[in-house]
Amino acid sequence: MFRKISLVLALSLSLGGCAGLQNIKTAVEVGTTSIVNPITRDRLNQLENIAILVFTGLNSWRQACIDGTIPASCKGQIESAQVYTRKIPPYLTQLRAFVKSGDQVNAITVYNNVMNLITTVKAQAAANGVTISTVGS
Amino acid sequence: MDIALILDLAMKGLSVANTLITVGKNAVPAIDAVKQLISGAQAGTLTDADLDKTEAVLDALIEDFNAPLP
Repeated sequence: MFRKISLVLALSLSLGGCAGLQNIKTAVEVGTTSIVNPITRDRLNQLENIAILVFTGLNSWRQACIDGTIPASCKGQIESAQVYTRKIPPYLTQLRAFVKSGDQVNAITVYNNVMNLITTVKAQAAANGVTISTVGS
Repeated sequence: MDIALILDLAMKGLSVANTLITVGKNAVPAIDAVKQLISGAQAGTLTDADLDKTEAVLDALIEDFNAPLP
C-alpha cells in the first residue's frame, strides 16, 4: 500500500512546474468562492475534476456504509446528502451546454450553483465525520 | 515555484487516494483528477475528447452515489 501511496505523491509532484503555478493557484481557489470570471473550457474541466474527487470520496463513504464497516446511521446520512447530489446532474448538463455555446451569463450562474451544491454536500459529509479532502477546498 | 503550495496540493490528492486504497476502491479516477488539476499549465489545450472523457467519469461517479442504497 505504501508503494502505491508513494507513487501517487511522486506523480503529483512531477506534474507541478513553474509555468503552471498560476493555474495551480486557480485550482486551489476554485470551489472556495463564487466567481464572476468567464467560465472557460479549462475552468469547466477544473470543476469537473474537483467534483470527481468529491464524488470518489462520497462513493467510498457509500461503499463503507453498504459493507457495514461504519455505523448503520450512515444510511440516513447518505440519503440526506443525496437530496443535494441528485440536483447536480441537470445543472451539469446546463453548464456544459452554456460553456460550449459561450453563454457566459448563464454559465456563471449555473457554475456557482454547482459549486454551492458540492460545498453543501462536503459540509454535510464532514458533519457526519467524513472528511473529503480535495483540491479546491 | 511555490513548493509549499504544490506539496499541499499533492497531499490533498494523496489523502483521497489513500482513503480509496485503504478501502480497496479504484483510486485511478482520483489520481487522474489531481493530475489534471496540477497540470493546469496545459490551459487552452483541452480538446473536446478531453472534456468528454472527464465528463463521462464524473457522470458515472455521480450516478453511482445517487443510486438508492440497498
